[in-house]
Amino acid sequence: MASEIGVGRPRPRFPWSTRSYRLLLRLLPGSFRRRFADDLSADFETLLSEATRGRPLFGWIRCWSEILLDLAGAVPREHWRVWRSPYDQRRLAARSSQSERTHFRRFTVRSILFDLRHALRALRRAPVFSLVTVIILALGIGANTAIFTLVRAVLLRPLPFEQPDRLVLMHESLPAMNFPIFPFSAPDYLDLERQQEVFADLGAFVVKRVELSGVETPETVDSASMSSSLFTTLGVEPALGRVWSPQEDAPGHDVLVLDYDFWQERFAGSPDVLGSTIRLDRDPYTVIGVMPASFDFPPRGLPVNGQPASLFTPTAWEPFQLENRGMMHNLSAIARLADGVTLERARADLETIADRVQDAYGAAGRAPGVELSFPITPLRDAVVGEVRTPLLLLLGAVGLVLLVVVANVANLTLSRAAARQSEMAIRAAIGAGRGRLIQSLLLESLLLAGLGAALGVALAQLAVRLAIRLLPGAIPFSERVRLDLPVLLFTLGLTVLTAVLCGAAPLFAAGRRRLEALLRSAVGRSTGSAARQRLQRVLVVTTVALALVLLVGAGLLGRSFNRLIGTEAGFDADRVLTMALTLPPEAYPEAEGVRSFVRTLRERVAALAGVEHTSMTTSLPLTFGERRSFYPEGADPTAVRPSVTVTWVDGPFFEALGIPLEEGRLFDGSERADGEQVVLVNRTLARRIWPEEDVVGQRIRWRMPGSENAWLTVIGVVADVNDGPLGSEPNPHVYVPYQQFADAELDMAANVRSPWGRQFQLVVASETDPSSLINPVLAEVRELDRSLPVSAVRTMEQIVGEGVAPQRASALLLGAFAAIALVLAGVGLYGVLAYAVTQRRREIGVRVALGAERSSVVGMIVRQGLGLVLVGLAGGVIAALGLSRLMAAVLYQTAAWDPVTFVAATAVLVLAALLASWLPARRASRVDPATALRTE
Amino acid sequence: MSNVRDNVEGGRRVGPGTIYGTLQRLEDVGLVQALPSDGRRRSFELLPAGRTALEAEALRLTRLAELVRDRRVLPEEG
Repeated sequence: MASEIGVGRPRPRFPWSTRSYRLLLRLLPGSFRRRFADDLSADFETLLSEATRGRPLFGWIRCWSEILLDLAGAVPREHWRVWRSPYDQRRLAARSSQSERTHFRRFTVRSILFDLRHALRALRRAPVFSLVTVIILALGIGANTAIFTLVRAVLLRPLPFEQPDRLVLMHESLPAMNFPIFPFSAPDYLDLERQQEVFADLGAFVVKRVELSGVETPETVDSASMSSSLFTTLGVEPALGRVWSPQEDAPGHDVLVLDYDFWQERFAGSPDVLGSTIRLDRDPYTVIGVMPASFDFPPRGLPVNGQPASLFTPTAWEPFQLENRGMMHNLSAIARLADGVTLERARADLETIADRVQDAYGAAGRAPGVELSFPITPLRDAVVGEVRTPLLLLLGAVGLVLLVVVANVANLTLSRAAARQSEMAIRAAIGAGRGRLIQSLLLESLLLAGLGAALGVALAQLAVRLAIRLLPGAIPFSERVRLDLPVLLFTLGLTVLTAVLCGAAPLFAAGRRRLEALLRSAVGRSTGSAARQRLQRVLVVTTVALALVLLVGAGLLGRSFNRLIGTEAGFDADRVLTMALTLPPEAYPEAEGVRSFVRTLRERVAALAGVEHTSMTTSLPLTFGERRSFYPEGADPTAVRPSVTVTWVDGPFFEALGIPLEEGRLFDGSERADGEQVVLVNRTLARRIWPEEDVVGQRIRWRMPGSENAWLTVIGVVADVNDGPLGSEPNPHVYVPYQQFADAELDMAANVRSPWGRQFQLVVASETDPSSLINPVLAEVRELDRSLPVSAVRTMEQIVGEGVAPQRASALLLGAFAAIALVLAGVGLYGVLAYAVTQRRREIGVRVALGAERSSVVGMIVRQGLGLVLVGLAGGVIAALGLSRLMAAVLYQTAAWDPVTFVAATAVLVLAALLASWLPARRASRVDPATALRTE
Repeated sequence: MSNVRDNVEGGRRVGPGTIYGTLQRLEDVGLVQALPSDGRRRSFELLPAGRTALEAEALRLTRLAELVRDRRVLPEEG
């Protein structure tokens, strides 16, 4: 192949051209030029002489253009080669020493891309395995992503205020009088504000429903009355305009700041809203500012006043409120600890102040044993306190689900590894190292986990939206619940971890020597196979144990939930429609006007077709109403006594809600504010105050400041009704006829713009479906007052359901997680047994040939399965006993070691295991000995 | 050299820079090796690896040609 190359000719035929060409050759890299320069110029001369033979000029031009083109290509090419050559040399050296292995080096971009392509092809070849694995992983990763999204938004993200860790929430407390927490009154709060030295800033607020008029449909919105200092305490600035000054925080300055969402919805985010007028409770207010979108206040979850508001107005306390202590306790207070002040020091300081405030109540406030205190809690704890335990519980549960998923997928991967032994053997034979094989398996599981995560994130997105829709009000900061970057990073980390655990861990666990065997051995005979089967059994046992823990958890929550909804709430929620309405003091200033509206509306609704009973009340069952303290006739007025819940009722309230009368009689409608004052009490109150005596005919008196209160005669005793959340202990309760509501009190409330006495729930017991009554009732309200908004139109059943929605959701979620774990445990067991049956075909064939009964073959396989399950159950019961104690806080009337739950969970798992074992066992029993022995 | 020039790359002419560059590369990867110069001409010989590569390439091209013929992708040559 050596070509004819002339060198060392005595005299160039084209001296000028040759010199030029040699000059051009200087463009080439030195090494190349030194080696080939003579050859190149010789060839050049040959070419030129050939070309110019016929037509000299044309040939000369053509030859030179070809040479120039040739050099244009060669010069950069050779420079590139020389530049690259050190690397190439190294590579060559490596190649020669490692020979064929070079191609299988791991962790290079090329090898990873190669393995990725290989993995994709491999997964396409096993579509069922891939699909099942991706779905299982999606469930595990999706559930974790969803719960973590909630946990992050609610528990991990700081509150949307400046330095939120320094903020505390304060209330008043009189534990001896059954007031563990109650709101501040304006005088108490102002005393605290004046005397404290531990806070940098503090402010008070109260949420009330106000009527928004001058709009298409009248409606009510939540409005927060706040002291101006609250904005600085929280460290928030308006997004638009300004907030009110301390001078404007007084009667007569009707200014208003809008919540961001409200501004967007009602005013399309227009800045022109500043200076415009909005009518609240039919009073004009001027808009002076808009808060930023992040300002979601008050936060949901607070024990009192925990309802995000759409509007913010000054507190503007009236002189009456400031002068009368012991009334209108409705304020929550938030304070910022001063620099260097600890929570303990603040508590000590507040103790002294509470003491002085108690003194200000005079002799009545100094009853022996009564101790007023101002408890403070870090704001964060107050907000998330209720949901922390359930959320952490769910987080733990999804963690277990993920472990089950990992164990299961690892199991599937191992089974598949068995099926791919020959492939692995071939790869190892042609030089793939252990690392490279692990890399390729790892990439495969990463690919699976990645696909699972993608699907899982989509599922989580749906789940989170659903959760927020189904649990309104139960999730603090629900608008912050988002699948954002940190959540996705969490998911990414989880995915990689899952992939590593599923894909590579079994290989590492097998140990180095076994691994080699595992990867390279022929099917079925080697130690590798034994190691793998042992691992698979361990995984099945683990899955069973985890599944039992989840089943027990779900069972406990389920039983607790059943107990909860099965609780005798004391009323009949069937076919009862309720709706809320508030008469604005501006439109109904006179007490007589209020009373006649109540009577008229009730009578008109009662006259509607299909209505059984109609009543107006100030509070429904399951909601806290007004609280008061009282004393019975003949007892020491200042003795320590529990406070009572007070409900004002008009019309057949007890009949409408099916609350049974136990003694005496009900109200008959003849009660008047100026007549004999009568009340009904509940069983709890009767038992506590008059355990031995006849209750009917006893008299009580409110312990209220100011004017001398009238004696109230007890005319009957009704059954206990829950006035807190379902499952809470019933409170002492007094029912008063609304028609006894005193003129002076209604007038006073109107003066201080309080909705007290003008806020009603209409209770309508229907003969048929209560929702069919909604429109007729609304029409009656409109007839009486066109601009009166009606809100919270719900059936009593809905109210009950909403109250237990968080518990229901927890129980359902845990149930779903347990179901996933159960199915996966079954699938894992089935997989291991099915494989074992395949492996033991020959042995089974021999047994059958030697006369073994089919049933004994079935028994053998089932026993093998149950053996594994029993080991798992033993571990699971121990783990469940340990873990379920953590659940005690969220259980209602259910012990953490509830034997029924444990037995049931175990039974369910055993049943699932029997099913999972029986299928392969049946297959084993059908082994035809002749075929089995021949194929081996 | 004229042999190479006329037969490589479907009749396109190949210049000396390209030819020697290619020889250098073949030598780099161990497919050919330069023979000791006799002063007048520089010769290269094919190494075993080069022969294998050549055979493999020839086989590949033959198969490609067969494939093209079998599938009748191109009109058959005379």
